[in-house]
Amino acid sequence: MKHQRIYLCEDSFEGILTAIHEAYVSRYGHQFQIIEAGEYTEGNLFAETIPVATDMDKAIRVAEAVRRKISQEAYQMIRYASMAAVPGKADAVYRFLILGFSIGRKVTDHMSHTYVNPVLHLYRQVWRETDHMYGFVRFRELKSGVLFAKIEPKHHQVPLLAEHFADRFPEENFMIWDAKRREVCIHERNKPPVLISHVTAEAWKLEEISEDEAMFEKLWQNFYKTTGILERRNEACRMRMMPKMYWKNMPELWQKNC
Amino acid sequence: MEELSGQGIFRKLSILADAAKYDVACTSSGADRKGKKGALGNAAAAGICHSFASDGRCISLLKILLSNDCAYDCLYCKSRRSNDVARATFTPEEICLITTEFYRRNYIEGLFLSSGVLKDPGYTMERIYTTLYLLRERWHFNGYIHVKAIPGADEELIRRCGFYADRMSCNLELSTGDSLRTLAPNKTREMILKPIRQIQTHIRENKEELALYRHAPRFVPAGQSTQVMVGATQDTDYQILSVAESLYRRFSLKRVFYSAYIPVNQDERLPAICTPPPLLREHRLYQADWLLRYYGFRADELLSPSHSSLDIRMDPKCDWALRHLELFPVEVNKVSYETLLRVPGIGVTSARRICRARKMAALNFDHLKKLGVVLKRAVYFITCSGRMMYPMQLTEKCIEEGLLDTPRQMPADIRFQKGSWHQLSLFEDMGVGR
Repeated sequence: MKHQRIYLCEDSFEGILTAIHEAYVSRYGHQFQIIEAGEYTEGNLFAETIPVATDMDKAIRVAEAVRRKISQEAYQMIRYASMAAVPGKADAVYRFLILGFSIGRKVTDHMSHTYVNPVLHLYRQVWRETDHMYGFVRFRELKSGVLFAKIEPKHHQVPLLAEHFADRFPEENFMIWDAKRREVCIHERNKPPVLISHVTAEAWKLEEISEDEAMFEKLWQNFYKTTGILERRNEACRMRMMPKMYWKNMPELWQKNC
Repeated sequence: MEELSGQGIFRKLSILADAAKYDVACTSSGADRKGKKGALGNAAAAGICHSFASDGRCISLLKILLSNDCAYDCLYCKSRRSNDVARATFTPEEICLITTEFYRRNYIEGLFLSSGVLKDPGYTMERIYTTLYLLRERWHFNGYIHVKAIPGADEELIRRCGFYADRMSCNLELSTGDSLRTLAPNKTREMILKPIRQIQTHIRENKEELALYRHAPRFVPAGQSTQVMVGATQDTDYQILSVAESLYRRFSLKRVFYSAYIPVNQDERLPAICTPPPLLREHRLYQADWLLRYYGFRADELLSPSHSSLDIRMDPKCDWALRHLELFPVEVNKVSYETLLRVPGIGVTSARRICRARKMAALNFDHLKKLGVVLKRAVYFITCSGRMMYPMQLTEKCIEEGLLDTPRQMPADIRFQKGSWHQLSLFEDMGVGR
């Protein structure tokens, strides 16, 4: 019986892919290896912990292999699953890819398989929130004309949102700031968005909102209040569709009796 | 900007958003368009909900009227000519400004522009056209636009609006010609159906053109929709669904919206002012509407002149299945996709997943649960590899009891209705002999 090995990698898509690369090239045997992302807390007496430094080249090689040997759909699934804030996600992706590399593109059809179902589940969890965030992100215009949004999502969303908003607002300078993960995406007019993680100083905290901003915000709050029909009031339905955790960054919900 | 900083625009937006809120359609789906350089916005095929109002309805578009200064006198409408309400009219520039500024802040997915009849239909449509023209050409707005076709307006104007809009709609409001005559003296059924037919023809022609020239301008890419009021008149669910079905079949509409009528005017021909809107009936109609569009049902399968209203207690598919127990149970691992769709508790997504997953391995109930099937309803109607989940009595009465939503979720008037619920009795229901 071999010792178990735990690959400890950075909590990001690239980090997880690097760890999967390491696990494969070690030829130690999949059943003896586990991948953990982020901080490892559970001490294990019988396992050997191997820290993995994120390596873009290795990550890209794995990503390319997934696209070519499995499918674009599988790539999309593991990308979203890696963004989840759920323990054990890295290992779920690893197990999914083991099966994927052995049976190819039909892996995504095995939806009830023990290796596939968890990843499918993670993918749906993250996508559901991404879909929410597409709508719930609120930009405020700063004095400099930059649009600034603060978000605090459950899962890691900034890279996914950056793509969406870069396509939507090609002519705008905007920033999306994840206050929970201390990560920001910066989009300059007609340029691809840039991601910066581990931000410590927050320069934009000093900036004030523009003059028009307060007016449009009020106009919007006003519209929001008006458009709800009193006779149909349904608090439970609103809360189900728009969970309260998102409310604090949405100006229309700051007002009383909205 | 001078005018804007004043109270003018606040007042206008309050009045015109308030007047537009009874139109239920607020979807931004159906158009798929990438962003482009120099313009603001794109459109996502599935639509995006940006907020949810206090009534739980999605706010996706800036839903406003161009004007509520209406020349018509429809009995059910708050903005009718003879009502004493505050009137306002937006200028096209004001609409463009609010739309783009809201859009930049990601408040909305686009614009939903409707209007009362300002002077006459032709003039109103012209103002609407001007707004769309400015928004698309001057303000380079590339987001979603839903616009109303005003019945009675010039055909050419409607056609030109269609090239700027993503979706057009023309509200039928009342499902029968008779009720329209009594409640809307200025409208006739023919007048409303004319622009709907027109838009359908243009969409068809545009499809042919697009097949030839890939970059031809697109006409109403997200199709057209309409709205029917529920509960304002004595129209039955059967009549409403049949109308909806023929609109889908003969006018190729994308959506029919149902709006539970909220009494705003006092009149003996309408429900009294404090009548609660029939929300559950509206919900059941939407469920039935989905069955027509995605599940291959026909209106006359769900209802008939003798069975003319939907069962409020359970969804229309369960109701249908209960009346056709001879077709069930079906074997999940074998039957066609179309048959799966008819099983209560299996929807379009889970039916598709089942068809994909069963190629790989025989499915059992545990798998079905993972795939998203609602077993609570489905258990009575399916077998996995020849077995039912539990041994049970497949009689209409037993299944009905199992299917009914838990009492807590039912509205009070039904919950306490005599006969719909009864205490189980060991001797009568379980057949335990004395």
